Amino acid sequence: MARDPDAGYCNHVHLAVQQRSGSARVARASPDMLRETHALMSNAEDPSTEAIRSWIERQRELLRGAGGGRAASESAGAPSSSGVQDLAGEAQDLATRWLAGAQTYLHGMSRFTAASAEPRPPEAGLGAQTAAAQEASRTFFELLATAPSLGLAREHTQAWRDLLAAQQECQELQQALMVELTRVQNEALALLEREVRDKQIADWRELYDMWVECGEQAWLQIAGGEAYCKLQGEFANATVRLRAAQQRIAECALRQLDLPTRSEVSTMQRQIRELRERVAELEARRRQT
Amino acid sequence: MSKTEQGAQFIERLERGLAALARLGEVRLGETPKDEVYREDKVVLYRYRPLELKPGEAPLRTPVLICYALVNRPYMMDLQPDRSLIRGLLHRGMDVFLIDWGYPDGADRHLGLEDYVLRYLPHCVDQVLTASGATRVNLLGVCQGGALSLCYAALLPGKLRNLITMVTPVSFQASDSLLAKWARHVDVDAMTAVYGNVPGELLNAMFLSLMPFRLTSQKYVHLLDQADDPAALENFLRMEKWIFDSPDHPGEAFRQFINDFVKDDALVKGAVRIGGRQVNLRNISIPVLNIYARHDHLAPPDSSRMLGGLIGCSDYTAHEFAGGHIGIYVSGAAQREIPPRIASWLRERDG
Repeated sequence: MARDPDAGYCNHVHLAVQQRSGSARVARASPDMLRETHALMSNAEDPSTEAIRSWIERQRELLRGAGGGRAASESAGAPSSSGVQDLAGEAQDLATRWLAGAQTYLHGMSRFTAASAEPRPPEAGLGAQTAAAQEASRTFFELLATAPSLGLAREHTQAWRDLLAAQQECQELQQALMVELTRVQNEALALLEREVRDKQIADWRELYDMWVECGEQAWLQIAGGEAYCKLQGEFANATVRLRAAQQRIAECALRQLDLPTRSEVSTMQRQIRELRERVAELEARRRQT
Repeated sequence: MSKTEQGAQFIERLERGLAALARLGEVRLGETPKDEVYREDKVVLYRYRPLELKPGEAPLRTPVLICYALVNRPYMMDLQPDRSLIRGLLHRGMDVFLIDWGYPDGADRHLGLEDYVLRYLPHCVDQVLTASGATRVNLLGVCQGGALSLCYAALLPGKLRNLITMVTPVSFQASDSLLAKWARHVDVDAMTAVYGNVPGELLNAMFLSLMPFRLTSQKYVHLLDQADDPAALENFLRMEKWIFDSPDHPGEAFRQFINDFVKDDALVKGAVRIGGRQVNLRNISIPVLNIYARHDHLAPPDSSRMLGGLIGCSDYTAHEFAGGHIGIYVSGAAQREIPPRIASWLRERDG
């Protein structure tokens, strides 16, 4: 049968479409095929029949090398002969993607660790080292957060990415809260210092009670301020987002095991409540008649 | 006394205190005899058995129904025999019923204020009338339970004779309350969507952080002063048990309460809607006794006091107690002052 020069290209396009739709089986063969196509289209403005035939043969070889004999025959309308192999291929592809993700994560963590361990001048103190480590951590998470998730595992990757971002947000806000709490302690000490200046303190207990009173005064002053209220609210909201991200991942795992999720249970509880309301209404109506 | 001697004395007192605490064992609370008269879901209605009347006291005709908050447990009203507001009422001739909201779990996360104000509370009122044979009820709302009682009285006033509110926050913007300030920036819709019910421990942490130095440190240091007093230690442990025995708050009811009552101050504005019905405090035409505490940090006096100008009845009495939100239940002064005040006020309006 004479080979139609367009057939190979059409097959290729078909395969590429399949790849976009998430077929891991095709995805294994396609990068080389794409390169070949690109070479053909850029080098041969008016491709000769020989060049096209050669290209088609090359595609067939590539497909055979990647178990593509089956893919090629399928694209021609023949049914699949080995579903198990397909599944194994998809699993392998998924594993490769997760491995790549893990390597990215480890790379980021190693950068974070290196930055944390970087020597700092003594006068900078622990706070500076913590700040440097946080900066490195922030950079890593920003990188991770800005790269788009792709492919079959996209939703899973995005869920984990959201979780990491939520954790990072919580840590930053918690740190900001810690700064405020330290300010309360410092204010309390400053107040105490003024209190004891012209006073004879009988014992440690009296001093302690005075410190408590100063602490409460300082706390009321700071915790009642708009800036602190806003910060605490932001932290509370961030912890909610973190929990939501955790729940999303937990629910995904539960669905894979065909176990009920909190969302499903909650939906049922809402439905039960609505049904009870309707029953109560009907009973009330029946009593009236 | 030298610092060394002070230190040795402190250590010795600490050892004595710990040994005394270890000897105490589990404390008992809410022991005044009572019987269950009604149960619906997790809600239980109790009726207390009559106690011997104090000299000069006579039984009242109208029973008293206590509506406690959804936060914490109602046995605060009957903590121990000599610190029991309920016993004080029983000794003065009142037929006392108490609503126990129970410990809500995940199945109750969708319960809204309409379930409490328009379903459980009316059902309990009906049960009180059936059990007592009375035609009307005196409703005594405590803290958040006072806010629920105000809503009930405004929406379904027909079966009430009198309303008493105790340490009830009416306006959350009228006072300088830290709780109200903090709540302003919290996305409660998102919180309840994610948490379902709001954990009691979370609420407790919030309450402790209102006075962190006193409540997480000083009170335990002061406990050493009571190391040689087993009764005082037992009282302390009872309070400790009550404080941390915190049920989770039903999510939807929490969402409504914080958004409407706390953030929007909607009860004052007449803008609260429960079960699709607008709560207008002007509809309260029965006599109201409003008891608040001068040093209340949870329901500050300014938050409670304004009730008189919001209701539709001229028979309004305010009573200020010289104590705090907890002291009004358990202090010696409260035992001497609050039950007699309630009894005398009700007796004048007993139909």
